Amino acid sequence: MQIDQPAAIAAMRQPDQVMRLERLGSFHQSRLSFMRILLRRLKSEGWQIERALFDIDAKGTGTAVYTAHGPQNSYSLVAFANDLDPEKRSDRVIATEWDATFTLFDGIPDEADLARLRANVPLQEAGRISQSELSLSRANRSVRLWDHVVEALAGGRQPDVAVIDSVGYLMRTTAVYGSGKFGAADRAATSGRPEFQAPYQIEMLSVYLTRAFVMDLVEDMARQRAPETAVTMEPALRRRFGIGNSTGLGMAPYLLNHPALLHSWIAARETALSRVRALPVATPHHTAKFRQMVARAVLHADAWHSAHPAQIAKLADLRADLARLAAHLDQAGLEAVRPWDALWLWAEGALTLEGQEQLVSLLLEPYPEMVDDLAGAMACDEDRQWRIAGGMPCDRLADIMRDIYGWALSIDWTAPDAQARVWYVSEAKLEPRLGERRLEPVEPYEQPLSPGRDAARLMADLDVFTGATVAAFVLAHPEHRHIVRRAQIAARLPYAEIRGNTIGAGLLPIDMLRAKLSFFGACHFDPRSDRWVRITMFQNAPYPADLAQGDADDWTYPALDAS
Amino acid sequence: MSWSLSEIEGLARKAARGSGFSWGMAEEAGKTVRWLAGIGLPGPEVLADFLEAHDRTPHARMRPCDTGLDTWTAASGVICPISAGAALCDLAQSDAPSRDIDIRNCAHPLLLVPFVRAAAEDGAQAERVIWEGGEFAFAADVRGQSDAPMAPLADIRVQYGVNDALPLPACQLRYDLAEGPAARLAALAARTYAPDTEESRTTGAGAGGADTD
Repeated sequence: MQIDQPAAIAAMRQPDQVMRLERLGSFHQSRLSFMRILLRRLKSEGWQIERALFDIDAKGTGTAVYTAHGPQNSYSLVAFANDLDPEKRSDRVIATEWDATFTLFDGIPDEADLARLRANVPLQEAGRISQSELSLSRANRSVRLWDHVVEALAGGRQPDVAVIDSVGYLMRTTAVYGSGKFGAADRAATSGRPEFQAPYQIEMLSVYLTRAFVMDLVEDMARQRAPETAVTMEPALRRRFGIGNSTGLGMAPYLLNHPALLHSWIAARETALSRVRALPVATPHHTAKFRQMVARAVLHADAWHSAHPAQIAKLADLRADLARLAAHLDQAGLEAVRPWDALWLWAEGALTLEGQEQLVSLLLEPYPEMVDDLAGAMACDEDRQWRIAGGMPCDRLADIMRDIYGWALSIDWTAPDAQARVWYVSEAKLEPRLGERRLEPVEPYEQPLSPGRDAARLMADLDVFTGATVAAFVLAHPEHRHIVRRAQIAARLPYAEIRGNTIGAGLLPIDMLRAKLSFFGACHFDPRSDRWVRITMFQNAPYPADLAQGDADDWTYPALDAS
Repeated sequence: MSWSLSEIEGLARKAARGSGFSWGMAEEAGKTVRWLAGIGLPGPEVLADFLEAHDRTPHARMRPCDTGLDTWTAASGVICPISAGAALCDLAQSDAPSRDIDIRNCAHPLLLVPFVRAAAEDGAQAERVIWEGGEFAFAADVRGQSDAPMAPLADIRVQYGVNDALPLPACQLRYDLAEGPAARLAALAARTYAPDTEESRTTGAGAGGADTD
């Protein structure tokens, strides 16, 4: 993406500042998150969502279809509900059975399609889907909340708010597979459609429809248990249920495997920030909106819980930062010249990374007219960035390496901690894992997910290479072809490369998970270990039936009157 | 079975890596096979033949010795189509207008074809690739055919020019890959997977504590 205004250029944050793991691990959802992009489109284009089939028995087994009709195309979530043996309930990728399984069908499925999908979708990775399917996913119940809600509704009561809020979801997805996986259609098959131009719109639509299905399912289970007494959920309570998501290590390599795409996401957010910072004045309308969002972010942070020590510390930082921000707004106001830039420069000295990145998201909130169009720039034709520029002189490559990987060239890679970890793929489940280089026999299987170390290796050979061009260098050193490609991509697209050690003893994979999940629009990031995290998606969002009325994009922070 | 092209690319990349390619060169193999499959040519099958015939052959012996010459040869006598193709591409930007290049004893020449397309694009000029088993021409459009796509060895000429007499291949978004070649590639790809251990199952993916609630 080109930077579009001279004033904005001065204010763009540098990749050396933005692309650090600890900062990426402090990102928050924003107007440019993929869930919000989706709901804005569903609302503005008047999408109609219907429950086309709901055939579930008293044991909770059966099929449901939810079809979303857009201006040009229709898409159907096909859901298979299962009566799962509690012994088999696991979020790990090694599970073989789930409470419910799903696919997003391209169009409206007929009986033959449903029969084919019923034979495959419940098997997930062990089944096979086709060009007609766009995603494959599954979900498990939160047993505690599910039982509470069914029991309450069946007994004619509403579920307890405190119990709802302590979990936040009735089901959590444990994997949502998209483009081309397990036989599904490739992204190339759908990327020309406006509704799927922005990233991850297929997956977000699938999860959004899943949330509607889960709410219907829990009400139906209560009704089937006690038809005489059962009631439906009060509308105000329904919104409190999001869809959980349980994400393991598998998501972390994505950011490294898609450098050009990562740049598109980060550059959109950084461009939005720079546009706001460049504003000479803030109108009362915009400052009032901003102050309101800060107050709502305080409520959001208060409702965010985690038992993980690292996240507890980050939440303490975030709450203190928001208090500092509120106090600063009271004292300093927003009336000066370039008030947002002044506020940002204050924040860089006054807030922790948590608070700084929360502020980035909050600064975008009052300005849909300056931010939302950037959603269109978040996709990327990765093939266009992929080929190596062989004519580049070796001197220029060396300059690029020092610029992008300077942080890595100063590391002593022979020190045990510098290369403590190995990314590898397991034979059993083909899932990415992280091993200890000195303790496990996994080094021969190392995946190319350590750009810093690879850059240092390249420089050692480049320093003594006597040829003139990159073409000659990679011919002599094919082992450096991968990192040369990365470096050239990052030279063109400055936010393409994470600038931190992805194999060091101090690596927290959850930092990479959070960066990606924040772009999805996830909230309440709750690590269960250094490489495993739960989040909620679409919590407080309108349901399909509510989209036509009201605001489709004002749900990510709790409303002030709901406190 | 019908495969998505991203599955084809991933399988080819991992198989090439498993057979001894560097990751960067394995990525080239993945893209090449995907492109061939996308016009209905047997890229996966040819890659399986090529990798098995030259399994774990040191790359240095199969790459072009001197790309400054107009005739490319390899120390081992047989040149690797992925290495030669990648080298053609790497040279294209600075070498245009290109020389005509003869590639002697190129293994499985079909695998070189997509690189010539990329070189034509990078060098912004029309290129033809001609060998005994087929011909392709890349200009504003893609033209070509091969009557012996599985051929294991040929001399290849890459030259400037167009050939509008060649047919336009149809593009496709899927590829029907039979179980046999799929299994052969999968066996090579499996070499990139670490054997499962109890330690790796419990700690490698990092499931901490209970994963239900």
